[in-house]
Amino acid sequence: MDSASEMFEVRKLRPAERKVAADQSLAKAPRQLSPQEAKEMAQRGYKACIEEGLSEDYAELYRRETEQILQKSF
Amino acid sequence: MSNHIYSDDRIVQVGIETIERALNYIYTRIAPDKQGLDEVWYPRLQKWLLMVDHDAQLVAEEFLETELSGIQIRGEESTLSTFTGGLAALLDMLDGSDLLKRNLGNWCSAATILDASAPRIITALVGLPSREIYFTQSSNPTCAYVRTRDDNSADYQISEVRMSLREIRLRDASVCFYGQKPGRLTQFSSSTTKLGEWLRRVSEQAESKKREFDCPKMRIYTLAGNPMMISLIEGRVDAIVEISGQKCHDVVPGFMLALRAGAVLRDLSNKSITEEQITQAILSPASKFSYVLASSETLATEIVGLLGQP
Repeated sequence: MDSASEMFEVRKLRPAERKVAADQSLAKAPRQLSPQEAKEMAQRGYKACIEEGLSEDYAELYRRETEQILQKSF
Repeated sequence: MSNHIYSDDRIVQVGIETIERALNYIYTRIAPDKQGLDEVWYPRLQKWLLMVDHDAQLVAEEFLETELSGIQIRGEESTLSTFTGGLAALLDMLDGSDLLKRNLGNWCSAATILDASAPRIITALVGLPSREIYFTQSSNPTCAYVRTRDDNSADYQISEVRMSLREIRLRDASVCFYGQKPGRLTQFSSSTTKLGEWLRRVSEQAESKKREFDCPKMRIYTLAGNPMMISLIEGRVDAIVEISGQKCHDVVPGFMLALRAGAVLRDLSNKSITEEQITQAILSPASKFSYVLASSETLATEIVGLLGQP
């Protein structure tokens, strides 16, 4: 034991052990949705909002925001 | 008997994408110029919700249905009715909405995808505000996994995650429970005389031994659920306790990840809660779990002992 170790004890948190996985097939970005796919998904959500009893204004805000976000790349 | 056409690998990939899209959606909708953090009255659910809570769930549902045709989806923001077989998912794309609203962290996007016919859990996923996505794979039940992304290169990486072994006494442990609402807090603090007396003793010791080497180091945090279970895996806290019961969407992804990473999960009679029991319970997503999740057997037993009837 060196002199420093004799003088103090160290306490620390013990984080999880991480080991790079042999299989990296899941290490990829989400696929880019086409504008058409994004539009259709946002439109289906719009209909779901209306069916849930939300207002048309709300459903339209959802549709507009969602279509825009879904088209962005990661 | 499985009646869907998708491989487990494909389902895990879609699960990860769903979580990443939800996190991306949440961050975009809560930007200062957006309305995502406004609360809206939802007639069908008869409750106030953050816009982004409802909308992130809806986006995730739409994406899952596009990628995994025929999947049944349940969630706090949609329905918690019993699964009727086939490919199924239980989603909570914004778990901890109040914490997000206040920018206090400890929220997540969580999902469990299962074959409700077999039944078996194919993958459980928790995405954190840091954008790290923890998940399980049936191909290797001996660890949890995490997908990280390098900020500079934008490269993704998959790592196996195992808890570091740590033996710690309760008097020195960091313990969490869900106590943000008044009812939950009072229910916990008055749960048993034994627990109350024990806390008083530790408190006295902490005061009298303040300057001593073996002063109790116990800390208590009034947060629980999936994000705290990741904190347990990562060694930031040592135990999570829930006495009144939390629904599946609030705990199952974290349970699965913590068990795979090496944590100990018990019910309040000190019996192990197994993956098989979790799988059976999630078939009826409204089922609840009372539990102690701990970093070691010894700690779990010590806590359950104090929660037992006086």
